[in-house]
Amino acid sequence: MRILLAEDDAETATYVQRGLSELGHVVTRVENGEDALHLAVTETFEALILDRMMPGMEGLDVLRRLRAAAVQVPVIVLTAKGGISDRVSGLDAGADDYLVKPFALAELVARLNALARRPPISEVVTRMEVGDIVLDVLRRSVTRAGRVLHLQPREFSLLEVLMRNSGRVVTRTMFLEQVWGFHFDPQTNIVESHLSRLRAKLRANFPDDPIETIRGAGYRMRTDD
Amino acid sequence: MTSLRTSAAYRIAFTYAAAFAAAVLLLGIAVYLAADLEFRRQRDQAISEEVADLARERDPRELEQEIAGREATRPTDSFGYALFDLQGRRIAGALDTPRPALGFSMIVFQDPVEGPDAARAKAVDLAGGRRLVVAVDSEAIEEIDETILTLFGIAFGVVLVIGAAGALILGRYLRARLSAISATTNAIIAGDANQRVPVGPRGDEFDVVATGINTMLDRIDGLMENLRQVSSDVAHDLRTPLLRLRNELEQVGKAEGSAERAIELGDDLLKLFAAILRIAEVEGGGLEQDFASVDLSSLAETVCDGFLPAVYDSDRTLSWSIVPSISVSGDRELLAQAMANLLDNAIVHTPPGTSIVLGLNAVDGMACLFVADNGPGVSPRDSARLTRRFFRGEASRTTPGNGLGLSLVAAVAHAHGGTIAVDGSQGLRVTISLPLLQK
Repeated sequence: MRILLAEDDAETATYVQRGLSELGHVVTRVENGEDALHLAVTETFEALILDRMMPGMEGLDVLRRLRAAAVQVPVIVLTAKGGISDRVSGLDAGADDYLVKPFALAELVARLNALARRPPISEVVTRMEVGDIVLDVLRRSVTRAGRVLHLQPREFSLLEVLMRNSGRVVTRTMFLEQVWGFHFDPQTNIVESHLSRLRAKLRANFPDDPIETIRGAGYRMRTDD
Repeated sequence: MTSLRTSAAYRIAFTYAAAFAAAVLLLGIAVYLAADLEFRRQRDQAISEEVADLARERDPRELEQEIAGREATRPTDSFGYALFDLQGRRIAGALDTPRPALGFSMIVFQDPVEGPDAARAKAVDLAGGRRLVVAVDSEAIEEIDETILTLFGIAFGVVLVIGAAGALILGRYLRARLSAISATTNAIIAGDANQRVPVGPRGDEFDVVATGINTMLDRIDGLMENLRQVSSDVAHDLRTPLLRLRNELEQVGKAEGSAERAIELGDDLLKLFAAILRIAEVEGGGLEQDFASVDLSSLAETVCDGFLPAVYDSDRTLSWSIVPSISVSGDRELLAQAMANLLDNAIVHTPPGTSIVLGLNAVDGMACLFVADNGPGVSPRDSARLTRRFFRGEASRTTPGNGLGLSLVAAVAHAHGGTIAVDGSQGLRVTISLPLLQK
């Protein structure tokens, strides 16, 4: 994946660049808003990682100008400000996701993957199939190998998130945000408890678990390919 | 006397007294002028009537007799009469004056007692070239004018004295009330932070200001106390996890999994800082501008539903009774985090088998949300300190957590204009009351 990284803090930038390069991504690094805007408009990237606080043009200004210029590249905003209102302003400016520093690289990678392959909003997927599991969003029904599974509403939402990101890691905070709308991580691991119930239901009478735990990162829905 | 000039209290009081005196002076001048004018008008009218009355007498002899008669019967201070012939000789009347011009004029006549004297006269011409003059001594009006002026002068003097005395008393009063406030602030500046402005029993403007200042001082005191406590607690409480992190790092390369454990310890430290920052943000205020209507009932439902499997997995039970459609003005994220912290605590600080209950209802315009458990509870001494940052009861020294959970709950409750109550007598019951959304 071609990624533009706009980050003025050399240490963070090196850390992110090294981590993403090891995963096979091509990272172009800039250190200020003007360069970020120039490159994002003139070249093609699959994702943009934008620091909020940069010398010269601020990250959110870059973002607003990009969106005004109809550049629809997925953007993750990085910020040292974990404030309650900061997230809203970031998303308002057109960010697709928002990550508060300091963050784990695994978190950034998971979110980057989720964004980069997200289908355009015009194609709303209402029926998903992964392996022998079929999820119908409109009828709110799930079957495995044709057998109907009775899921609780939260379990259904968890499975929906996993299936939309099948083959990719979904982190605990991504679950908390997308299933419950919580941007904090409770001390009690509520995601794991729900997931273990979901997995038990999916696994019942089947030899394999379609969901795997990725240590230190999150969970992933297995795909056949 | 310099204090009199520089004092705003005296300046205000004296300015008011001076303005009042000026108003009285203006009023006096106006009354004097109006009265004087009216007296002169009435006198002229009386003269005109007298002249007209006499002029009706056609017969010269009769007229002379009439004049003589009136002079004889009327008191001396009344009209004076004179009748002149064509040559200007006085042929009747006792008014000793040269022949005046026609109409009203001021004349000088010879008073038999006082000598030359001023008078107001009116002259008309009669048949046969005779000229009839009726005059009134000016003295009467001058005396009235003088009386008015004297009375007014005395009254004005009294006004000045009362005004000055009142201004002095009022100025002293204002200064005394204000100096009570400034004495307190000076004492606080000098370092005695426990001083408070005395508040009178009447609840007047000064008392309102004094109460406001005292409330502000209490708030500052609370914040200062918080700051003192936090800075020492942060230093103290961060040493332990840092020490553990350091020890774990020492084991890297020697013991299996120590690198991962070190990362976990680092993450815990970051979470601790995030919690401190979050509390600081919530306590800092200014969040109201982003407040929106939050359906607390459905949010509580969501949180309970989210926690249910985890509570069950920890061998405790969770039940809830939530009155539907209770809304508050607030921040959904913070309110959810407050509820989550309360449930986290109920799970971590109770033995397995504990029942946890979350309740939400509306009482007296407040949304009351409580989380209660039937665990061991806390001592009354500890319940009062439970919301303090980093406070951890003796029994929970070894359980996970950073002692910030309830601090955030308290901060969130206060940020939403609500209160928090902790009751540790039978299990632990924490209640937060938030003002209901005004519809």
